[in-house]
Amino acid sequence: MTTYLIRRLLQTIPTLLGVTIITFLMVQFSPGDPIDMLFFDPTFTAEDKELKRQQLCLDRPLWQQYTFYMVGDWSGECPNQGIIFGDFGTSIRKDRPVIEMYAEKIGPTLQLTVGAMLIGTVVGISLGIISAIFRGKLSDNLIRFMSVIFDAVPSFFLGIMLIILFGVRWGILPLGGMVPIRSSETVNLWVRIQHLILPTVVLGVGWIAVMSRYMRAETLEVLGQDYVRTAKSKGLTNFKVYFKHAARNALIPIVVIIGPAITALLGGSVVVERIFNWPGMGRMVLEALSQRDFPVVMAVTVISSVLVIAGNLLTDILLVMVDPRVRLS
Amino acid sequence: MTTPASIQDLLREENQKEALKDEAPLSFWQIALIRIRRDKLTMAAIIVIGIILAASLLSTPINNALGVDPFDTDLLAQFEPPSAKHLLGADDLGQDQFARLIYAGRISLAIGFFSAFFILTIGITLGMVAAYFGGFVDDIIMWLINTLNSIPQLYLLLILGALFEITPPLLVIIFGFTAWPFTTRLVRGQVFSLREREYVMASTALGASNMYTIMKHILPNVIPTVIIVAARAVGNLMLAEAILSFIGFGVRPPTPTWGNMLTKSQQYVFEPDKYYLILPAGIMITITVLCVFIIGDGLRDALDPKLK
Repeated sequence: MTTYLIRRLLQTIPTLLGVTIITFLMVQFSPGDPIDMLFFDPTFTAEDKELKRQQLCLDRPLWQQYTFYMVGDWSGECPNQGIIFGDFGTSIRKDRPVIEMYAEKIGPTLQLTVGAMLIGTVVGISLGIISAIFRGKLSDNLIRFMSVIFDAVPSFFLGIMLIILFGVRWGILPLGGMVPIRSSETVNLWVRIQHLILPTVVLGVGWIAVMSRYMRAETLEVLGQDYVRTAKSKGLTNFKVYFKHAARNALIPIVVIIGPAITALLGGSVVVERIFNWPGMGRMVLEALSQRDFPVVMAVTVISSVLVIAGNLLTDILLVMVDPRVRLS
Repeated sequence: MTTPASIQDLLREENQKEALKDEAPLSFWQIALIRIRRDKLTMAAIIVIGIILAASLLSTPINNALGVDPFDTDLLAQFEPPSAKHLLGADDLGQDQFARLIYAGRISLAIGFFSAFFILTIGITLGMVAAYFGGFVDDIIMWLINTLNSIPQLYLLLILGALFEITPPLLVIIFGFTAWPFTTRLVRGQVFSLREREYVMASTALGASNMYTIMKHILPNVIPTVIIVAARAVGNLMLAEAILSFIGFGVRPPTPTWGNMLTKSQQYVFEPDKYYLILPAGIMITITVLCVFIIGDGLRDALDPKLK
């Protein structure tokens, strides 16, 4: 187990390097002079620009800039301290350390993603098991058809429709935001939950689709196993057979999709935060992109990628822990 | 004395004779076709997609016949509700919504299909190369795949969308270069497992070159998997296009796409009399993607019944 852990940890290093190199290069090759974008000052002469360029080390060769970006400049000539020491640069527009802005915005985004994951997992798994038990019957077909529809409807269209129905027409749920505008500091829990419902549902719908399909396939596989037949022939009730013997074992491979789920939810939250005006990381990225505030965009991309890599790592470790057969292969 | 080549020739002749008989066994593709024909849901989806495709491809003649143009602005027709002249009404610029909707379909569908084609080309080539050469080349390709898979794809697309002025062809290229890893990994895995099959070993034992074995025995067996992936890819890419346009980093107006039509109409959620501007584009995306996914599932059931 320890050797496996160490090997698996070492494997993440090239991936982390790749992520940072790609992000770094994409922004490097963006059109336009970074100095112009940074200062917007028409009184700047060519010499001023040159000086700034030297101060910010933008005149150094690319590999050197990348090294400084990663581990910082230890001679102290350049401002970078390196992302491995938590320095993701400073926002051009807000003039604040990016990591500080990120820390503020990650909370609201986590509320959404965790909520969506909960809805998706609970509903998805239940639907998947039901679908497998009633294979080929009406309820199975309905659930499968619904999961394809959930896949196909664009999240923003679903969001707009839900806003129109629940917000505008029936007026039972808020249209967006995290708390009512012009509200006092303390907002009670119920109001917060009301604001959470629509965004988490929109974000969770795709996850329900994936989960139910996956769970259906796994349960079908398990239902054909000998021990399920044994359990049935022992005279156990259907409920016990399905939920105690079958579902438990069907759940094991589900951990495999935790990694991809993190990717999908992080991406999806950008769209959902935009529709529901949710003050999270996704909206920060969109704002930064439209203002060409690239340090912010780079930081969010790199941190999100680290989260994804960590999620994949966790998945692999969990899989080995719950299913010892995996270790052999 | 027979050489290996002539054994192959004999076998081929034998097979051809067999195929000419009346009760010749059905080929893999013939069986798949029969299965699809029996699958009512898939057939319905194919028909709907066919209609949407036809309307999009013929959008210019249809619009000419109706006397409307997707780019004409007419301030007198501003916010005109659906009528005989403007079938789906007109927007804030007086642009005919029906004309824009079917014209946008052409762009959305083209982006979906061309990007999927592009992705499959890159994906299959790299997947075969990785599995064929193995070693260092395989390591590099796998590293690229792991890296690209670790960056949330929407972020990659957003950055590229912010850096460049997005036109439909550019979007196809961007999708092509960011979305190939899934196909590559799948093809690579398939080739690895097919390499161990007896018929591949037999081919090698008969003296066939590696290239011949790959093209003749491995590639045809990868194709079914690839077709299933392709159908999913077309749908997902159309969704990605719509999402990018919706967030404002995709194809921009005046060129209409279903995504940017929806973005523009989003501001009217409080005005029920203008819902005719919101619904059509959203419904079109949903129906099209839904049909593409259903066809994908139908193809999967037909080509690989074990997965059902």
